[in-house]
Amino acid sequence: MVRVDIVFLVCYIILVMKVELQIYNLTKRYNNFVALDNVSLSVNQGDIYGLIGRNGAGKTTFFKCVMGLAKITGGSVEIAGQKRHLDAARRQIGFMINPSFFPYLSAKQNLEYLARVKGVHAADEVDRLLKMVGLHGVKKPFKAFSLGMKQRLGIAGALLGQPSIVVLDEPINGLDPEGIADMRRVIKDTNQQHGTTFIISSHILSELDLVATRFGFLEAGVLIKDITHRDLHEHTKKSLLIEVNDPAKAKRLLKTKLNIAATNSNNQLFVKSHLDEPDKVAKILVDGGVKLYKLQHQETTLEGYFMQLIGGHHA
Amino acid sequence: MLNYLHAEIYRLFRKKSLFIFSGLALLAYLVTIFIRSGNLNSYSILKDASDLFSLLPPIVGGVLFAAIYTDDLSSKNLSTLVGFGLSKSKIVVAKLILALMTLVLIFGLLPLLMYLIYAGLGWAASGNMMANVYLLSGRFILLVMIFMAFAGVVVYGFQRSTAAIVAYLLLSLGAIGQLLTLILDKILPNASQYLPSNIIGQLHLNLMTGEGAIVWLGMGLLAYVVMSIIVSVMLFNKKEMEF
Repeated sequence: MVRVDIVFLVCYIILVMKVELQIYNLTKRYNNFVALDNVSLSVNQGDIYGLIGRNGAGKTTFFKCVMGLAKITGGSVEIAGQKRHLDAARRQIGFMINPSFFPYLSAKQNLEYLARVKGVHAADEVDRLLKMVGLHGVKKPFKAFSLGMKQRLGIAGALLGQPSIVVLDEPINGLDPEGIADMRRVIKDTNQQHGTTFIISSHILSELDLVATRFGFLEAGVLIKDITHRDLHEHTKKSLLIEVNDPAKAKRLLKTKLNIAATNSNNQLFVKSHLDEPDKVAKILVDGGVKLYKLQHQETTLEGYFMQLIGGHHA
Repeated sequence: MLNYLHAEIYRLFRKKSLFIFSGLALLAYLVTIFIRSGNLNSYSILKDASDLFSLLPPIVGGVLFAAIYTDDLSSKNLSTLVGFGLSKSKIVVAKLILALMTLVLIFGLLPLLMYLIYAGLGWAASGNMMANVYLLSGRFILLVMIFMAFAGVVVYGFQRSTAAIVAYLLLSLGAIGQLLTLILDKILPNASQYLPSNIIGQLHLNLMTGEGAIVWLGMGLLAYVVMSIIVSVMLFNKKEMEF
């Protein structure tokens, strides 16, 4: 029975979950400096893949390799099943790595230029996108734009022609809180309405946590973790931190009296159930003769998880 | 590539500074015509065209070169194009086609404009005279085209606007040509006749007199253009795109 389930799952993945981007052992070296080291990952259709890493971790280099803007030293890239004719496959990708437009053209003129390059003929597409990013009716040239406006135009440019994959490098840099919320809405709506796959890097991890369905953690050019949003939150969900004089005894008491499987580190215990009943947990321990020094709620944020990961990697 | 050319024409027609510059250049020319009108006659159009056209490669050509080539560098548009999947060779060739189209438009309209001004002043040029003016404009189209193709190598190889514009200006002012002539005359006498500006000069002369090689000289120029395309694409492929 289990085997049938597994076979069904595999068939489902093969037939339904189309892989949009497959990276095999991607390596990029600049002389002796290794910017990307054997990075392998796959992004499925409809994923919103959050690429997380510190400055210089290799995120932009990764995007540059995918987009053909940097020559890869080793490994390969497969876009929408295409490994050989990557130039043609890249036409299905919209991207924004530092919003770059002609300074003397307006938002509309810049998008109309791009529409011509991409062969997008829908007359209302440019207006639709400008409305979507809140730049409709803005007449001033790009050079007079604020950083936030440039970011908005960059996102509109990436979405032009409804590409099946959209790559956004730090899309919410320079946006005000309202702009950040708008961009989140744009990304989620586009993903849900058109099934667009997104690959987004950001160092505002809490924001990425609100949109991404999968995460990749890059550190010093190495992909140290590739995890789904669900699995990530299994790792980061709230716990009770309990500091006691006798962790082994406390662990036994919690197991026998409350059927709690606690994990311990030194004289600290971590409990992931009974989060709303800390008083009950405290009573069991105190009644059982354990000295209770500390009992507090604890939640690992995405930032915390990331810091743990890179700490572990460095160790 | 057609989509890209279409987009580039759209962009150039919306670059206001290009029109402001053209308007000012035209105004300056009209002022000089007005000042010199007492000395003009129906034969002076050829001399006038020669003087005017010789100024155009560094001045008008420089502005055009910046608009066509280096705007892509300053706006990082090259990265957008390559990221979109446009092949580097197509970008290089499309730029040359765009440069040729723009030059044909300018050097095609200028003799016509001169004819109308002269006719307005009562000195309408003959058909034969206009044919010579157009031959002269063709010579400058080829010259500017070659300069742009050579300076394009700097655009794609170094991806630095200032270096590319300096290279174009040095070529169009004749500094590089004269330097090469000096060097070649010392090392390989007669070799300087194969320099593009000398080939174009010879081609112009042969077309005017109706004697001498035309096809071979044309092939020689074409070889220079093809060579510059090959070197541009090779360097473009080698150079990492910058953001």
